[in-house]
Amino acid sequence: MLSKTLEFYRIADVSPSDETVRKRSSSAEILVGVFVKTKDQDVLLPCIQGVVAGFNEGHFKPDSPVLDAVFQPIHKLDMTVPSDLKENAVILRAVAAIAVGELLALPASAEAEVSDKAQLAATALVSSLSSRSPVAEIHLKSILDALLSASNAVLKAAGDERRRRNLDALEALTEIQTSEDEDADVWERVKAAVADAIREVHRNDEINREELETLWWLFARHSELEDKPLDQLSVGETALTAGIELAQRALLPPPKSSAGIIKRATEHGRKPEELGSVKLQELADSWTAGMSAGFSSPSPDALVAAYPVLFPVTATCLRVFKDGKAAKTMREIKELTALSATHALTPTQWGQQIFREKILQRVLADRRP
Amino acid sequence: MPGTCINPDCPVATTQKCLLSHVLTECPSYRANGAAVPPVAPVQPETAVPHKPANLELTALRSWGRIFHAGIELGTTDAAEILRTRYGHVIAVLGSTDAGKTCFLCSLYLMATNGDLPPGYVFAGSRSLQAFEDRARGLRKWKDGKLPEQMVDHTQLDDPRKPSLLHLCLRETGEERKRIDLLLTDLPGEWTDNLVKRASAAQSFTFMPRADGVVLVVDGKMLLADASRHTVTQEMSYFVDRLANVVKVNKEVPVVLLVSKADEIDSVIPAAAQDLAKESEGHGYRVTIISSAALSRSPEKVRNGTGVIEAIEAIIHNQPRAARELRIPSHISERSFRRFRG
Repeated sequence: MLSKTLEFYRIADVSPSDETVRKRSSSAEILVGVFVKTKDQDVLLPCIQGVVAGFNEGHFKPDSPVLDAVFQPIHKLDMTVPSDLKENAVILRAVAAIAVGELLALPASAEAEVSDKAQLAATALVSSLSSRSPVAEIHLKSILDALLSASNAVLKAAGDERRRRNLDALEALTEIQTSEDEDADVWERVKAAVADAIREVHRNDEINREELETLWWLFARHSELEDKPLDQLSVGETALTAGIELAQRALLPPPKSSAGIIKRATEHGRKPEELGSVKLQELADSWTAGMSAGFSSPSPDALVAAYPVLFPVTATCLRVFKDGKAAKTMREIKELTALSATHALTPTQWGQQIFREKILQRVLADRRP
Repeated sequence: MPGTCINPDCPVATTQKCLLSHVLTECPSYRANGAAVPPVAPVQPETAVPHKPANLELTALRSWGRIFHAGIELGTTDAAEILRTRYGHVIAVLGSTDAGKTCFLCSLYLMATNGDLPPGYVFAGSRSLQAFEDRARGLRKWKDGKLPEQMVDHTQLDDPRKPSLLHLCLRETGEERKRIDLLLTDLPGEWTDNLVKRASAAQSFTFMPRADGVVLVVDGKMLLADASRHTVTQEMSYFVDRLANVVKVNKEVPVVLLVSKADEIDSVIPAAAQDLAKESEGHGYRVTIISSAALSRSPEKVRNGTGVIEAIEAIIHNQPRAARELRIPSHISERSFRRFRG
């Protein structure tokens, strides 16, 4: 979002000069290049954590490589920017936000690596931001809103494209015409067209299977993780298991209708008083070993340790499951996830959040070498 | 040729003399005007010291020790030093001449220095103590046991085209102990009056897009008096209209309509204030009316500082509107599965 450099950079400067805006814009452009060239876990994902929770909130050590990765493009063009994190944290956050926004704004037609990075960034932002209360700081809120909105748009476009049924390859196959003078290579062309057509059929079948699997799961109302009917689970357990199990069935990126399916699975047959707001620390009581097992490869512990801001609910549930709910633990959880354990949402909303986190975990697992 | 230096403390732009006594053309920190920013390259060591850092001159300057701010009003460049460290709340305190803007600021400062901040807040520092002190000095001049009629001097800016900001940092005493950096504008009432008269005065308000909140101070006595209330209401309506349509202040920015001098009007909220609030809401702003007695003339009846922290809280604890849900046109998907919403 280089076009929004001025708006985003205002959090660090009341009225930045034209020169400053140009320099920060160029720095963000360099940083986008760094995102594309480096491993996700090295720069992009930690940067997103920094944008969401700040670069000085205990998530980054002063010698963290990601700080250097963000600082260097800024310092390269403006040597007056202080190098101490205590003096430049907001500058880093603003430039990182501009760069992440720019990555999301790159056209879907960009090369596959860029497009994949944009989808990963969008999935991470949606997982991290969707269930938090809006921040009170207006200009920070407008940045996070802009990024969340761009992320939703990226995922929607990619989701639509993933589920687009087509017969292009089949049509190409039927259009092959033979002529006597090209008999030599006609079979090569036919073989290629048949292979494309089979891939197309398989792809269309995957789309159908996603629908069938999801609808049968919703119809059966039986949790595989807990091996119990949903009606025998508490509403919190139902929400969490629905989020995880539906995320396992979705094609990536998931369809928007997933939120409605989780709502139906969680709320069906429940009394209205069961569906009121629940604090995160209370929801964590519903977490089970089976749910931890639902987050495999990479293991939930590794995920939470690396990206607690991107997996706030998983991080909280795992920690409470292990260490209980002592005040000190709750404080540590808040420092790690930047989400208070007393934050309250309805069980359905928590289920939708765990769904987003499980989707992000799947995206990360898919991208592992 | 005039130029600038990357060292913010170097006076070369005005004096043409290098802080480190370099010849300008040889100084690595000097930038002639119009010259392109050179690419980062290791500074050639002046002596044979191996592995000298690239930003040698800055490192050398920092080794001199900390540079202290004089404590006077902050310009936007000084404010950037605070903002780049932590999120700061920029609060525009606006209003006509004699409305009570400076009294509002002095009241906040005196509460902080006197330990009179409401429970939940403690003073946590300021980069403009001297500026606050300069404004509060008039309050210490008593005559015949009474406060003077004009409690604080009219605001005058060093540079009449640029806003000055006062910094005050509060810390919440709760579990989080969150720091709240406030950057409050202190602008002459003439700025407000000029914007009412002509739209071109909006160029002075270039800082407004960064404002986290607006405290619009209106004189409660004038809002209540038959002779003046229509004029004041109309002028302030024009002013809000200018803020919305010319300065283009974000509609998410909370507006506090601070009815000042509550001690002199028995803490009544004049009906004209309600009209003004409705007018502002018509422009899309969320308005909170607060009755205020920043420096009360009858503290036994109306406490000093009434409404001051409430106005700040209305801005820093602003509950923003939720982000709009991404609207998905129904024609996008032909599949019922993907249109399902529960």
